[in-house]
Amino acid sequence: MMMVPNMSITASQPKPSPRGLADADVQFRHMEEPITDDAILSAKFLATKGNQAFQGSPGHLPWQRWAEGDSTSTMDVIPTTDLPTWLRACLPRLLRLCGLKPNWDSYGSPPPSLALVKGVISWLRLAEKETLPEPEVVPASAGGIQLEWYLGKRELEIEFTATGQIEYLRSDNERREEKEDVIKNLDDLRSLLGWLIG
Amino acid sequence: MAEVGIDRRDDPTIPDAEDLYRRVVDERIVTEQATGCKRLSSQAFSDRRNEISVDLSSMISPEESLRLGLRCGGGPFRGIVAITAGQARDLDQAVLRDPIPDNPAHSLICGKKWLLAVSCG
Repeated sequence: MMMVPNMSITASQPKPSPRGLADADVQFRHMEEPITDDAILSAKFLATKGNQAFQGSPGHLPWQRWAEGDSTSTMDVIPTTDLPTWLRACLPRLLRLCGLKPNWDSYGSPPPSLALVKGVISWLRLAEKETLPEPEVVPASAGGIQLEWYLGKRELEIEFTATGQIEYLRSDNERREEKEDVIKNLDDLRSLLGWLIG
Repeated sequence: MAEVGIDRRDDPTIPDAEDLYRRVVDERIVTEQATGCKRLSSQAFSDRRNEISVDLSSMISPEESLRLGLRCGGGPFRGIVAITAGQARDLDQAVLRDPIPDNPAHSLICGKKWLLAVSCG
């Protein structure tokens, strides 16, 4: 297995502030193929603001520490090997949530952390569901992340809270039934995702 | 210990017909996979504390509510959504005034969050 080298990014312009990140024009570019064997990356980071441009190395996602003002630190890596297509497709939108500014909703919500994004990806990868539609990705209050599927007769919302709890609400529009509960383990998650496409 | 927001008392001086404004950012507008239709995410009316901030329509215009949101660093906003106090009460929520220095119209919808989020989602 090829090891992923630690890489760093150095800003050539004055160090951007977190606010600067939020104001930046941020784009993700999908990589068609993984560059390394063991994984990595589906997103290449490019942010521009005015005449400044900051670009992350392929396979590395420089957001978090860059946003915190550390322009020279080693970047975090999110393994993406074996991610199902639907999860890979929504990865840029998941990552983009980390770039929200504090109080982005004006009601005191912080942006989701990169650690939470990693946690969401890990859970969904381990659920081993290959054929799901791509979910809507919504920032939740208090720094959480909510995934939403609206498939006509069945709807599902899964909220990953910043404190580590996972909750869901599922609706069967034909039977006019709704159920909410906490997801306690992978079996719960697999069962729920199976219900969605069942 | 009681959960925050659960035991708050409803303010009967807020009429059922009063619109309660809530600012909505683009990230809370979602697309139904089955139909392609846009809809409001339930997160627009959700809060971990079981207390949802709103503005009383009798005390502030939608435009001013948006301006307040921008001034405190939020946005950009897609717009304002509103439910009436009566609709919130029908879902076992309490509606009460909670004026803050920059916003005397600030109020709260208090109660179990899912009840409201499910209805508004």
